[in-house]
Amino acid sequence: MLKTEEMVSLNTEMSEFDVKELEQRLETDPLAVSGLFNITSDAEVNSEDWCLWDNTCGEHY
Amino acid sequence: MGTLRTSSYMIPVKLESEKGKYMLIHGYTGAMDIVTEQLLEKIKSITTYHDFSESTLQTLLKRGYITTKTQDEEYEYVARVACALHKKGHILNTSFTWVVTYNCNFRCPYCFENRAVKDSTHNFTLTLEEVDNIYQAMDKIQPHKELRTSILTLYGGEPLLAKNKNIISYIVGEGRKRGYRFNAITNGYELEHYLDLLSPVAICKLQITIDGPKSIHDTRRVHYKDHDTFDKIVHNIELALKRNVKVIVRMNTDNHNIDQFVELKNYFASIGYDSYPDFKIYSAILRDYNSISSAEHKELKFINAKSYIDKLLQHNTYEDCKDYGLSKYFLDSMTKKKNLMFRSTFCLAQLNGYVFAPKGEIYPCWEVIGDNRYLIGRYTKEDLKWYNQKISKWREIDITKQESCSKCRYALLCGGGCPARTLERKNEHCAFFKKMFNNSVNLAYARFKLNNSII
Repeated sequence: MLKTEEMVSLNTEMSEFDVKELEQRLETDPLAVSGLFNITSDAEVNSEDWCLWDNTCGEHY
Repeated sequence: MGTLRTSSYMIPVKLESEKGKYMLIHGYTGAMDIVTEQLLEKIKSITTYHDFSESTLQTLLKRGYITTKTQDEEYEYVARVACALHKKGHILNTSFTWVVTYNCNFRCPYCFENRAVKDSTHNFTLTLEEVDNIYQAMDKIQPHKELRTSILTLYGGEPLLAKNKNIISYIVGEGRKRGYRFNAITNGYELEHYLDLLSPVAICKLQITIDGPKSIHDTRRVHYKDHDTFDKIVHNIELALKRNVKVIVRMNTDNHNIDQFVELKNYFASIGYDSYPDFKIYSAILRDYNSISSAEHKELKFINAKSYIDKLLQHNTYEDCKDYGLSKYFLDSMTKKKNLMFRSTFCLAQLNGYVFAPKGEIYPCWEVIGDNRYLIGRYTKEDLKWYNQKISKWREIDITKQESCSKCRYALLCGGGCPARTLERKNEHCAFFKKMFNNSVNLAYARFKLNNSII
């Protein structure tokens, strides 16, 4: 990751390629999308959080 | 290469701890970068002039802050990402909540549930047959066990009433046979009747509301016939903690009690509860509902986003507030060095969440239980009946369907807010989210710096 006097990158980024792979997987093998890329926070099966629960409504679960 | 322009999805956040520096966050690449004010200004003026080296330009393009996409192409790309996320979320998130009963022993002035049902003398509680039917319905709704949540939520009314002990024991017993554990949203007042079910393998987590120190709580969390409720609930919390059950105390906060949040927190510390790793307390803003009467309105003092956050910062309790998990979300991304994760929906009511209620009713969301306008289906011993038009109304909502979200640079980070509140036309999510966003970024970065030397 980049580190210059003007800019320090703190993480990686999601590319269009990642999105294409997800779309393709959803078409060909939808049940296997769990854990595919760091794309979504909507993907936590067995999540303990839903809506108002815990810290709340729609918390990033 | 097409025409260079500043991305419409770049979000600059001024860093309070570092003069002249900003955190740049990108709304569809999930990038996070610390930049100088000078660099930010250059990025903003890219259409008129730039003196970036080729490698810097390529980096800024890759991170998304500078783009060759037109604004419309950016909107289209975000809609495409949102669509894929929604599909994925629907596949992976099948979750179940059980409204054990509509009855409740409390008469809180801000309750949003259908009072005519909840506070009546009728008994609206699940029967043994309905419990069997619900477990059967769950298997039909999601045949793949690995795609079902393994934790079921017990909700009400008040689910853990003493008189519900038999039905709760049956639900938990049958659930454990199938590999489920349970959460409960409870007022904690009759929890002592459930000690044998409180354990990490049965009812393993409780959310209990305490609305401030005793003097305030006892005026708002009112039992229908007893007087004070504070002392009994606090005692019951300890009984749960001793059984290694997670207890999350929620303080519904308005202008009446926000200044007492610290006092309540300190009280729990003084009696040693904060030494239990399973104990947590947080403040959640009290929300206005159509079910609250004008007389009750006078007793409540709703607080707006700005005042709420300002007060929390003033009392140094921002970390204990409901910030939609934002600060943890940013910190996780920095710590793991992975792009920010995205969402196109706000809650499981938009994905594959089901709320089972007595009388064979199925709702998408617990905020609308008992309201037939939102009934999405019915379960019986024989079959499941669905009202597909009503289901679609919830399941199809995502950021692409809401005018205010479809062109918002925060959309994939926020998910668009609570659909139930939107239906009530009381969605104040935008104001909160944007106000909290900057504070949560700064909080997360401060924590990150504590653990890492990056500059």
